[in-house]
Amino acid sequence: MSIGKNVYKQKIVMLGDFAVGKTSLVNRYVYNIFSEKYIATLGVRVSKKDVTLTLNNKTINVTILLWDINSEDRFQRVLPQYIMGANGAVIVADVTRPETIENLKHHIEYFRTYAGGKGIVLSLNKTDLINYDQFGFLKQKMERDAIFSKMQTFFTSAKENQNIEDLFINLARLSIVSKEG
Amino acid sequence: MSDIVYNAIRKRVKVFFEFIDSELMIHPTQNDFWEYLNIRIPENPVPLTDIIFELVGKEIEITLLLKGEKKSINIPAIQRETEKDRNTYFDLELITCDRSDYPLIVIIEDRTRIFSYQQKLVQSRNETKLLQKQLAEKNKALEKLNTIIQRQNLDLEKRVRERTQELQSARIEIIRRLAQAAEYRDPETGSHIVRMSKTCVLLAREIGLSEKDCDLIYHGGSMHDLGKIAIPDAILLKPGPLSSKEWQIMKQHTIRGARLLSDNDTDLMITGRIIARSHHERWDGNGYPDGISGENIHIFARICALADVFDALVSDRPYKKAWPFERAISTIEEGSGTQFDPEIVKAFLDISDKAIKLQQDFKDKST
Repeated sequence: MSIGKNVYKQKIVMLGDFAVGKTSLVNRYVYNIFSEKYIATLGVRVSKKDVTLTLNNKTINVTILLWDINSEDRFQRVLPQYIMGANGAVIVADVTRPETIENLKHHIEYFRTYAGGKGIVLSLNKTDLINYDQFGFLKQKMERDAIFSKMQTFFTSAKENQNIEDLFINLARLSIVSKEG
Repeated sequence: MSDIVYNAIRKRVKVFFEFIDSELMIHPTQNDFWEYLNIRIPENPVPLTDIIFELVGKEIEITLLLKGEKKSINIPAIQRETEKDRNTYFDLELITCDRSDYPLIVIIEDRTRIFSYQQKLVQSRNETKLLQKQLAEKNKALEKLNTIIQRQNLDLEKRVRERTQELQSARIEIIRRLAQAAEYRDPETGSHIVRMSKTCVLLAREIGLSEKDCDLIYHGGSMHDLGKIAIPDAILLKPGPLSSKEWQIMKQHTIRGARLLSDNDTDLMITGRIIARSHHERWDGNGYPDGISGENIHIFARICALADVFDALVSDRPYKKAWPFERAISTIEEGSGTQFDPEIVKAFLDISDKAIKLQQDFKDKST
């Protein structure tokens, strides 16, 4: 939704299992910082980033509001209030923990339940921790999967600042296009 | 409610609020609201979502709220860094107000204390889970490594076993050939070693020795006359009776044999040494070279003594014809308690049929 003159405000939610690097991705993108220390997110922390996009030869100012949300497990839920009204989602998995990749489908479904068919991009994070062969294997796995193959997937490393900008800018673009389209 | 009580409650529960007009502009009327959020109090109204940006995306719900079709909008557990490195947690609520100028009120309730505590719990639980997972992976890797090591160990053990077996076979073969070399110089025939060793095994089994001991006595027995290799031909091959001096030299084959097999402490060599030295000892102590008696003579030597004599009695020699089995058995029986261990004689009588069959199966070709 655009509020104010020619400024789009995009609510983007970060979803994924615990310790996959959701907060690290936000910190890297918004504040350009990275810490090895793991700090669990409780509730939601919203960070803002102003960007300028070119879309159909038009320059658009966008304020991306990144909702860094706690992971869900049997002790805490991802509240629907956090998801509702979102323009898109970054759904994150840790490439070193296969179960977090399997769980992407659960997060996709949950997001769609409360936000409808909004844009989703997948982030397979912590690629700095795997070797070239493992990377190739994962890439094939994602391409073979019926659900994942239809989505934009970014292999990211918050630590090494790989693909982070692309990840968020592509989602912002996708969200605006899908809203206007 | 008095202002004092009202303010005291507000301070305790840490609830802050601010008014919002129908244009969704937030009006700066309550200082503590802005202080809590660590935002400088604006001089003029500002757009609600500029201050409470957590409400971006809730525009439809806000419209419903203004129309009275929704009672409130709640967003719990919002985390903000209100000062550097200081996180606050609050619950956010947007509700309608009966004032015509301010149809909405935004309320924030500080929950920093409880949520900070909860955050620590979640953090601790997640870290434990990660650690457990890492440990499980490490364990899995270790198990895999263990399996590989175990497999390699088994392979190594097998190879060592095969090599040891090979070495053992080579050693036995060398000993056997040495013993045969001694036999070639002796009027006794080559098959004597085989028959005598096999008879030893029959006896050893009969008196209850282990299979390992049976194996030792079989191979060790073949070395009983190894010392003859060191006896001059003039004495060893003399057709007639030996003089006293010659006999003393002849008896030396026991000691020479034991010496040939000295300086090696494998079970086989020890057995060979015992048998070579003591197979001419007698139960009554009148044997040679040490004149020991009874159970002071090693069981292996006692067994070999009987087997050696029996085979000699039933075999042709240049100086005598082979005795019939019955006569030989009878002679052995007569030697019980004097020349031979009575228990071994008893065992021999029990296996005499097998001993006779063995003699027939391995009969010398020359006879």
